[in-house]
Amino acid sequence: MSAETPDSRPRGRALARPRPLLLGFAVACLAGALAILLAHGGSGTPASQRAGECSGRGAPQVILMAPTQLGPLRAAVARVLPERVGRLYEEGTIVSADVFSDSSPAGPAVNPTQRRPGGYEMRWWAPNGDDLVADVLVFSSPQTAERFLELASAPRCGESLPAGPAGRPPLARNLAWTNPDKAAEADVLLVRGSRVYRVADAPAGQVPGRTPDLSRALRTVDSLACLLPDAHCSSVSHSVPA
Amino acid sequence: MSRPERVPLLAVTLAAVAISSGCGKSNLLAGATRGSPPPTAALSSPRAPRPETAGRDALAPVAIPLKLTAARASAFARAVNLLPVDIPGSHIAPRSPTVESQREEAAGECSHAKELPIGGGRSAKLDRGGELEAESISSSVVVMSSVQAARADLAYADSQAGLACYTALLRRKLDGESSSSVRVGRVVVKPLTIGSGSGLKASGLRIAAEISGVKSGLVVGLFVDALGFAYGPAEIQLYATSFVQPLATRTEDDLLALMQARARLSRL
Repeated sequence: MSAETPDSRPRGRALARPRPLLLGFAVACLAGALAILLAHGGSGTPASQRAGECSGRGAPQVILMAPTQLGPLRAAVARVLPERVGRLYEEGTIVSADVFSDSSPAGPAVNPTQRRPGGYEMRWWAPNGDDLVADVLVFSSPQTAERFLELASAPRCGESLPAGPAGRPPLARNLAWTNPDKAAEADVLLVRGSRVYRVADAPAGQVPGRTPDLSRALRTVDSLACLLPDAHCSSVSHSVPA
Repeated sequence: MSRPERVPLLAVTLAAVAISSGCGKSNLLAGATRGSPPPTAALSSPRAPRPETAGRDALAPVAIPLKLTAARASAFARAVNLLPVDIPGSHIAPRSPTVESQREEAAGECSHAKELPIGGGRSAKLDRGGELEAESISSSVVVMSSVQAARADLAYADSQAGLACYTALLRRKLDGESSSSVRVGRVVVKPLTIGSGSGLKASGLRIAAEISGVKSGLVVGLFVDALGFAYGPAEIQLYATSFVQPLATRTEDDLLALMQARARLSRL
C-alpha cells in the first residue's frame, strides 16, 4: 500500500533540493525507465497496464441478471464443499474485479427487482482451518469468458508463481499468488461455456513474510473443482490432501 | 389478516420442528456423518473483512407522521419482510397448519407484552438446500403502539426471565417431537447478539439442539436463531433454522441490514 508518510522534518525548513541535484535525479529516473523498457524489448507491458491487470481493471465484466437467476449460480458453487463439510461464513454476489482484489461478496439488494451482477461466491472455513472460496462468473459469451480466464490466470501483483495447466479438471489453469491481503493462495480457474469458475484455497497458519508451500493447496483446489458442474474430470476424488 | 407473531422464539422453535419433519428426519440422520456442530469461534481470516454496505449508519429516529393503523402496519411489514429473491436458491415452503395453530395457542406463554400489537405481518417460509444443507429463513414485522412497547417486548426476550421461560417451553415442545425413530437430546438456549459496528444491533436467541437417530445413534446439531431489533414502534425479526452449523453470521447481518434499509424507505 502506498500510504502517505507524514513529513517528519521540522516545519519551515526548505524542502526543495538544489536545482542541479533535482535535474540529476530526473535524468537517473529517465535512464531507469529506459532500461526497463529496453529489458522488455521495447514492447513490454506498460506500467499502467500492469497495474490494471493487478486490480482487474480492463477485465471483461459479468452480465447483469434477474435476482431469481442467482439461485442456480449458488447451487453450482455450493457443490464444491457439500454436506456442511466446511463452515460457510460468507456468500453473495461478486463482480469480475473481485477475483483480483479478493474482496468479499455483496449481500442482497434493497430493491428486490434490481438486476444483480452475474457472479456468486461462497466462502468456508475448511476443517483444517484453510480459507476456501468457490465462485462462478457469467459472461456474455464463451469468448468473453475465455478472455477473462486469460487475464485472471496470468501472473499477478505480489509474489506470483508462473501459472500453468491444472492437473484437473480438463482445460483448467492453476495460479499461486499472494492476494491483496498478503495471504498466499492457490487458485484453479476453468471456463465452461459462458461461465468461469474459480476455487481458491488460502492455507491456514501462514507466517507473515514467508510464502508457504502451496502444492497441497493446489491439489486441494484441483480436487474440489472436479465437483463443479461440467467439470468433466475422469474421476472424482472423495477426499482432498490432508 | 392473521395475528402478528408475538413470541419469536415459539415461531422459530416450531419452524425448526417443521423443517426437521419436512425434510424427513430418518433420511437426514441416515446421511449424517458428523456428530457435533463445528466450533463457531471465529478464526483469523487471511482475507480482508467485507466493507460495510452503504446506508448502514446508526439508527435515526423514526418519523410517524400519521396515526398507526393495522392497514399501515401491514403495508409496512410487506415492504420490509424478506422475499425469495433475498435468499438465492430459496423457495416458498408451505407452513404447517398444525404448527401454526400450536404457535397461536402457545403464543402467550412467554409473552411479556402488556398490550396487543397494532398489526404487522410475516414473510413466507423460505427454504433452500436439502438434508444436512437444509435451511429455513423467515422474517416478521410487528408494529406496536409505541417505541417503548416495542423495546420492552424485545428486552424481555433478552432477559434472564425470558430466556428461562423460552428454554422450559422449548424443552417441553421438543420432548413432544421425539418419536420412536428420532430423539431430541441436549438443548441449549443462549442469548445472541449481532452487530457490525454500522449502528445496527440485533439481539435474540440461539437454540442449539441435538437430534439423534434411535437406531443409527448418529447425532446432528440443529440450530435456530431468532434475532430482532426495534425500528421505532416496530419489531423487525429474523428467524433462521439450519442443521450442523448455524446460518453464517454475515448472512444474518446482511438480511437484518436489508430489512433495516427497506424500513427506512417505507413509511410507517
